[in-house]
Amino acid sequence: MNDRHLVDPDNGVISREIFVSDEVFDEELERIFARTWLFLGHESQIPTTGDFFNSRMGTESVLLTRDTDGEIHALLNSCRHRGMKVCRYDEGNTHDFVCPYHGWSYSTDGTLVATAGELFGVPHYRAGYGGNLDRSQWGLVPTAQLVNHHGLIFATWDPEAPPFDTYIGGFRHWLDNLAASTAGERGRVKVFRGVQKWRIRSNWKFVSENFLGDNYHGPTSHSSVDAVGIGPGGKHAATRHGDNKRPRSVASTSFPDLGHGGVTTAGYAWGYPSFAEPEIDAFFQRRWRQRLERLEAEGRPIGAFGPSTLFPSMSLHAGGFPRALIVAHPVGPTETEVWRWYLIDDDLPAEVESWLRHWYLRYSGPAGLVEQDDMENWDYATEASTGTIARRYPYNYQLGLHMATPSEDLDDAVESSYFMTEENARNYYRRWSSLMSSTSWAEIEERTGRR
Amino acid sequence: MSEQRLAELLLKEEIVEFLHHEADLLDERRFDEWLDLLEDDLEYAMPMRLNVRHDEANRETTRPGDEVCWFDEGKSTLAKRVEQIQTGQHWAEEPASRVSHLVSNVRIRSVDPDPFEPAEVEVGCRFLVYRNRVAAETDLWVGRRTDVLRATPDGWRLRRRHLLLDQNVLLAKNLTVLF
Amino acid sequence: MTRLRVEVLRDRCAGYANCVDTAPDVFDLDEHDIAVVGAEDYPQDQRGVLERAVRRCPPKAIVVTDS
Repeated sequence: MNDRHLVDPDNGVISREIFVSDEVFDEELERIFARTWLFLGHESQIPTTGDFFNSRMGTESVLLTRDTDGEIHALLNSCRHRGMKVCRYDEGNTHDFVCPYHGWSYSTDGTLVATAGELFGVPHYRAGYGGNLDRSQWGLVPTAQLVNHHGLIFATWDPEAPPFDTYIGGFRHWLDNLAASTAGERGRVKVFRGVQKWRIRSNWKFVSENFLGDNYHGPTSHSSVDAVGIGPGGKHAATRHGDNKRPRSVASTSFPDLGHGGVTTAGYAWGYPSFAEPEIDAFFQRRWRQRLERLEAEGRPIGAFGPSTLFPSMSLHAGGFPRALIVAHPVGPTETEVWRWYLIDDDLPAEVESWLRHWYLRYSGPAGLVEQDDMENWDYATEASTGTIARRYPYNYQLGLHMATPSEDLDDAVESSYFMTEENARNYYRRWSSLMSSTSWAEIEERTGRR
Repeated sequence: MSEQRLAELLLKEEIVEFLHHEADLLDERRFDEWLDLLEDDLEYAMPMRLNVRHDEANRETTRPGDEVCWFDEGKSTLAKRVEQIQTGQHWAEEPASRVSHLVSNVRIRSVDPDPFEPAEVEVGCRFLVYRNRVAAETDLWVGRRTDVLRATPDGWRLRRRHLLLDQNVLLAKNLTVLF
Repeated sequence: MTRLRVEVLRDRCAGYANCVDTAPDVFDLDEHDIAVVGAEDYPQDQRGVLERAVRRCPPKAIVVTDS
């Protein structure tokens, strides 16, 4: 694909085609979703042997399972015989998946086969197949690589994809914040049961762009929610994030080679919100102090907060509130299925957990007073970009052009010198363009190295 | 006809009239008057529906109070929703959607203490909420609803609403409607 | 000591032959490709392999009980 005329990050101009074209969409499924690291779920969703969570990668259904050795697997949810989904439950526990079509059976916990996901049973194996079917070759397709990053499970279909730690680079501080408790301890969160899933009428990249560094939209898109106040109150009133008084000088961070981005720097953080309820306020002030102590002891930076995106399609509120993540699953060029997970420390007092759950639900998701206005914009921006005339005119990504400097905290990142910038988006599309133009990871890495 | 039976029929009619009046208020966007029908201790929840094995039916619906729901809130949050719409800058409802609430299959489940001097009534029904927005954007939400209504000097008031939407993946981009 | 009775639910059996692989001394397939059990009952020391055969049967067509 000739991407030069579609994406020009150096001059801040990007064609509408990449948001509405069928051809680009199909190419993305091959060159982005089949090759990058994608988020599947949290380990707290599959704590026990035989547990499974029906997840998704790109457009495809993928089963996240836990085997009897405690290992996690991600398996394409499609029978190798005729393709039927071997599991249409959202979650559960089983030692096997028996396909409802012809009965081919796959082991999930690994006790009946060499590796979880393998085919262990086929009807009429002797009389019909003469005992000659090599069952070890017909198991559920596993992902090529899978990691558990402090509880966050990621996988990729591409065996050539760089190792996860290389892929995330300095963005790991944002992921670490997502995976850590409010006291900063990694791996000490769990997911509330219930992943919100809903369909929106827009291209998936609008979602990623929104969180990776679009500070610009906040005051306009969300003017109504800050007028009514849904946050924790306390001394900074009930703005949606709570204590949202970070200095304007705090820059956004983005990764030119990797495509990730977030609205803060790794080195600066301003604390938890203040709450109107004195006990909850005191609780979080204590947690903040604990967090600072722990991060200093572990040599980890104290920032990397707030909205951010891991390329290509996982966005998160790292560290602050709401503690949540969203994955934008492509359905079509103008349709996306978004999934939202809500995370919580694994040791909160009941009243704190309850307070946070209510805040999360009124903030995010389709019933969230904040998120609703984002989706309205993505919907009609997409619709208004599908027309013949509209497609001739590119989008403007020139906010903060030529205002980025190397990050003070990370050697693979840049910071914008003004807190409102589209530098993060420009770098996101640099990465996008690199992947879309390359047929292999070797080629991607060579192109990246040349820059 | 017994006096008991007559009292039950009249109560049913009164409840249906209340529910239809409530639907009128919402559809006519008389949101402040609708808020006045809500008790201060209102519980308003719409849990999510999961696909589970037939013998795990007790895990089919997420639990209000504990787990993620579409809605799990009280009167103060609903008041915020109304206030947000009234700013005129809630883009998801500006311009406003056209909404119709249909309420059917109304059945009185229980009456406390009796239909002669009822203090609290539990009502089951089906809801069908239709929304059309901007031009071609149309949504349909259908499901079961359980309401608890409390008798007050000013008439019936809503004390509890539990909605079971018949969808797994929400097939709408948002839930700005009040159910 | 009680012995173990093994029954194949013929309507459920689909000829996977996993049971034959697991316990060839106990199970075989008949001319209809349906599993059959060799003896009326088995000693308790066969419990482990029989429970494994139960677990390996996807349509759950094997029932093992104490007689």
